Amino acid sequence: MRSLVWPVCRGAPAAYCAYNKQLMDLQAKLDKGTELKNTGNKAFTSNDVKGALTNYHQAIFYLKGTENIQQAMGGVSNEQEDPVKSQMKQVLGTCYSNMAACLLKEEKWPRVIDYCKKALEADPKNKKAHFRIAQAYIRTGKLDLAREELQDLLRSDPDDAGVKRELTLLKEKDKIETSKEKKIYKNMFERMAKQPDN
Amino acid sequence: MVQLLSSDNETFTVDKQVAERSILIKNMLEDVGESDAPIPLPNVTAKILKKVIDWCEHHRGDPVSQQEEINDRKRLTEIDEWDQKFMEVDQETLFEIILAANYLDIKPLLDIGCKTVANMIKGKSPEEIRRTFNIVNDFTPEVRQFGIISHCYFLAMLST
Amino acid sequence: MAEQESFTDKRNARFFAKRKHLQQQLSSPLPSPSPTGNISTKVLGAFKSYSNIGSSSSLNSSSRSSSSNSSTQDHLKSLDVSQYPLAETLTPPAMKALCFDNDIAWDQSAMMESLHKTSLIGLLPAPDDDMKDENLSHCSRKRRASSLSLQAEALFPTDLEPLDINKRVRTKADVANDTERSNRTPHSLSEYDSDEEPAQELSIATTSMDQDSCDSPNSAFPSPSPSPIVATAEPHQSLTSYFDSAPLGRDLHTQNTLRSNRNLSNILSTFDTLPQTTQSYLLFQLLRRSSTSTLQFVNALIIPALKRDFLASLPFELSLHILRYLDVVSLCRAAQVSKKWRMVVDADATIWRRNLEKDGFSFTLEEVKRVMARQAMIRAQRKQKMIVLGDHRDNASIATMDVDNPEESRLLRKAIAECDHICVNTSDDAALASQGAGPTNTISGSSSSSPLEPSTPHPYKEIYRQHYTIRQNWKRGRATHMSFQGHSDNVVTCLQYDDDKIISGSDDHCINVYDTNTGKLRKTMSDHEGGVWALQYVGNTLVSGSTDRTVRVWDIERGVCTHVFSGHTSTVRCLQIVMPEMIDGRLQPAYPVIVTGSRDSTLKVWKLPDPVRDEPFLAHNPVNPWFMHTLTGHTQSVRAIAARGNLLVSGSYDNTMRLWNIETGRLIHLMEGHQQRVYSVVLDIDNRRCMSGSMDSTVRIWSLDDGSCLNVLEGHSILVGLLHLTPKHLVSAAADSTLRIWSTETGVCEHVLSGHQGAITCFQHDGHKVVSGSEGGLKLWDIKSGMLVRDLITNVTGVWRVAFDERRCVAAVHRDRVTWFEVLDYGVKGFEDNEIVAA
Repeated sequence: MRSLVWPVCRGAPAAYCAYNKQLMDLQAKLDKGTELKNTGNKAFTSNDVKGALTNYHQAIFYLKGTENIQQAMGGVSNEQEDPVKSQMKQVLGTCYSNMAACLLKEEKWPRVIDYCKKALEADPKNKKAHFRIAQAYIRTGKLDLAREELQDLLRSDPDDAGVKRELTLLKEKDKIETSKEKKIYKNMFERMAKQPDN
Repeated sequence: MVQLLSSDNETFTVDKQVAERSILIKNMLEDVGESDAPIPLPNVTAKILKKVIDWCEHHRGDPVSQQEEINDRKRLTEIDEWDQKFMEVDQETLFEIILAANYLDIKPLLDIGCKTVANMIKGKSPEEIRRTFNIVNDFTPEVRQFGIISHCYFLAMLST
Repeated sequence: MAEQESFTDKRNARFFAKRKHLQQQLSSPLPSPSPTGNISTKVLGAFKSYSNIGSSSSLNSSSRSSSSNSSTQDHLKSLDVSQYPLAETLTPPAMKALCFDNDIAWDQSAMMESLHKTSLIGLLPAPDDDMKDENLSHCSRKRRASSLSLQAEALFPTDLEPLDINKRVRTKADVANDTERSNRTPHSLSEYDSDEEPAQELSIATTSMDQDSCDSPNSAFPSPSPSPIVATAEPHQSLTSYFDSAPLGRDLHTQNTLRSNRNLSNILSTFDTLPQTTQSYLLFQLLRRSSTSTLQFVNALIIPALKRDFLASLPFELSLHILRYLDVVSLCRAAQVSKKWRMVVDADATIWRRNLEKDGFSFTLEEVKRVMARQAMIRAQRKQKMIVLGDHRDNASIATMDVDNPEESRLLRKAIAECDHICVNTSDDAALASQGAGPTNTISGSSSSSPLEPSTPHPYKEIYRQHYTIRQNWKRGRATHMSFQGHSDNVVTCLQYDDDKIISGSDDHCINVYDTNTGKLRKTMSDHEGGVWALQYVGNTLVSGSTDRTVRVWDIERGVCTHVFSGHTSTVRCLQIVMPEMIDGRLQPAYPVIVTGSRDSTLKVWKLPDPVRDEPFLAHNPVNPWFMHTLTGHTQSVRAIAARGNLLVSGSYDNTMRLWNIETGRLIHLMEGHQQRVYSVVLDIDNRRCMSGSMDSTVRIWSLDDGSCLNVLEGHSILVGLLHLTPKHLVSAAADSTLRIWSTETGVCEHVLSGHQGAITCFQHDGHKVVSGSEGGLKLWDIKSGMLVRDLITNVTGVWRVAFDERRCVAAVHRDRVTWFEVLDYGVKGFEDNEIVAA
């Protein structure tokens, strides 16, 4: 039988048996996921963006969607209690963050935003993710959101050259936007002034 | 054509368009391109994957859904007939379909699954809900008594 | 090669023959076989696919079996469908390739079993220390049982009657199968075991079953969470009764039974080693041979096992996703189901916010803060009380506390109410107190049930409850009623109020300020020299217009008139304060203004002074710094005005309506069309429309963009004196004592509210309810249905003015030749709950 080998626990109530089995699966998945993430990292550093992405995607396949297992045991248990689960979350966050970096190189801005958001869900303090999402915001016209992110980053790292660069870019874009707005309003007022009062 | 490999090592061959109903798979195909190797889905079993693929096949032509109108009461409870039949499965399977839809990021299927469960809850008294889902009432007797009083009162207030 | 080919041919031929045989035996409409060649490829294909999925070896073995199943099929055919419902069921297409002979398959499976056992043993994890003691003993028992399977077999005959051997086999096999799929049954079965003595053998029998179930390759289903079942009580009855009724003696032990028993134990142990498809097929065959009662038994076992506690088992976000689709009633019911469910329902703020919006409740940030503060206070209070009470599980101490200190118990009960998010009305308090043992139970119950509290407290459910309660109070008429006299017997011409004060203007030249909660008269402002016919206040600034042709500005706090504007040459009939609004990117009007309409057919626009900060203007100085412009154009008295932003619309007795620009004072449009005097106007800026009601009994809808008449709403029979507009509904009231509800979108008259005894003198509506007054009294109507909900006030000779907001309804009425103010308060008792805060 070309099947996976099912670990068996004797004597325990079947629920615990299942939990044990799934826990093992969980560990196995974590290991596989971490392995793939590491491969992806290597590929990224050697500039093989496609290879990196492949590995990251595969890692996500393993790591995602495992929240249910814990809950199936009947309890919204604290994540800190389950080290395996929190580790998985961490690795997942790293994968998303790195994928965002890859896509940044490929300039797929909306996807960068999606992945950064997911990375920030897993780890709200991920500075790189904040930075990348700010970059993507600027290039998709969401200047206010970008400004928020960059200002937060500046507060924690006042000397970061990258952040400063992005802020200058933001200012430039801002100017363009406001001049556009002025034009629109100018036309509007002109039109209104032309209309008779009575 | 794309090949999907379930957790119990069963391979399913589907059209790219069908597979792309899952955003997870779609993103991967977009980033990485197609390959001959099957895509491993270690968190979905063959039985459920088959069901999900069936659904995707049937809905392959649907427009990629926009943000659903939450305020539209009618759409909240309406499920299309085919989908209703599709969801006539035991609760265990329904549960797994919901998890799989969440994992694969197929929002319309997730919505339908959740709507189905919501419809199972709607209009039932707490005891009936417990019977439907085989849940134990774990409130202490005192709270239960108080709960009944308050529940009656509150419900009396709520029912128009 | 040749050998192999012939072998394949033989195999196919055998299969084909068997299939034909099956067809004949079952006389069921199997698909008619196509020419041989196709069959063989089809069959090969089927075999191939199955070798992918399942165990190839067992399948090959089954296909190699030469002997027919005629014996079994005969037996099947002889079964009566009414008693064995599945006897004539078609083999599901996926299983058609499989059909094996009992004995041979089992022999093969026995071989498989030994193979599997050796491979499986290597995978056993060491027993975990965390397992409970019972399980440990279970574990050891089972290990013993497994090594002594023969012994176990020997025990079987005590439980089985040889005649019913088939049935028993099936039952056990079924149960064994179910135990592997439902982890609850072994639990409950073993619970049963510990209780009953005669079931000693049963316990070992079941442990061997458990062993099998543990050995079995668990399929990929995630296990449902273990919890005791109530539903399986009955099957257990049948199981034990089965075994109980069996003779315990070993006299029935015969050679036959021994052999069949060995087969039996083989069946069970090898069943588990079969691949899933074969298992399913075997079960299918077994079920076909089962009677209805067996099927019922099996059904009762399986169905609860496949149920799932969704909200508890799904990840939090998905549970919330499900709850999104529920309405509030279902949400509240769901919260009663179990502790987990309550936690999930209470925890998310967005569901309740969404419900607040959906059901049309609006709430302010202030309210949110207030409720959050109160909840925090309650929690702190309760914690304190719990420390004071010591061991909160000691009911006695709580009981004594309760009896000795009714005040404290009342507070505690209030705390409980907050904890459980339940509205405890005064009547409910009384009900609980009167229950005697009730309060004690509830107190102890809640103090031990802090898990009832949401983990991330948010005020929205509470806010929803409060708003909903008020709405229900309106419907049910639960209100506190306060009456006080005022203005002796004069007409009250204008009324405005808020949570703190009620301000009324009357024909007796006075403006009175009353306290909303107590009805006490705070101030009387009687500077006017004529009847007050129009007033409005914003904040601390009150503006009034009178028959003495002046417009006065007052400081409400001090009760002093600070500005007097003259200019009108006749009664100031209507006025409105227009506050700046951000429209189209700028404030319109640029600063607050007062617009007044007068019987002298003009309108005047004045800047709004601040009575506290600005210099008083009392002298009759011809130069008035506050005056902006006069709008002339009407030829008769200006009866009604409505203004918003920079737009002002006025209706006059000259049958016309005019649209003005407040800042420039210029006329924008002249709207003609009414046949008689215009009595009321409303402005709908968002839709660029305005409406007017006239003595010609019609309501007209005009466009603000070009001044044309968009629609004429007919239906009333005489003077339409009053109009009131909300986004979806326009309500008009007429002297024919009816009100009409019109849809703003279609212009169709949705309902006619009739029932009043005289002309409607005043009314207001908020999109959900209409409150209208006439000479008979004050009535409450439901907008959606158009039905009368109740009479709010009766026994009056007239209702001068009415106003309501979410919580209160204030009316100035005429009763027994005296003017009274009636205040109906629908707020929940303890709504503000200053009492708890003070404590």
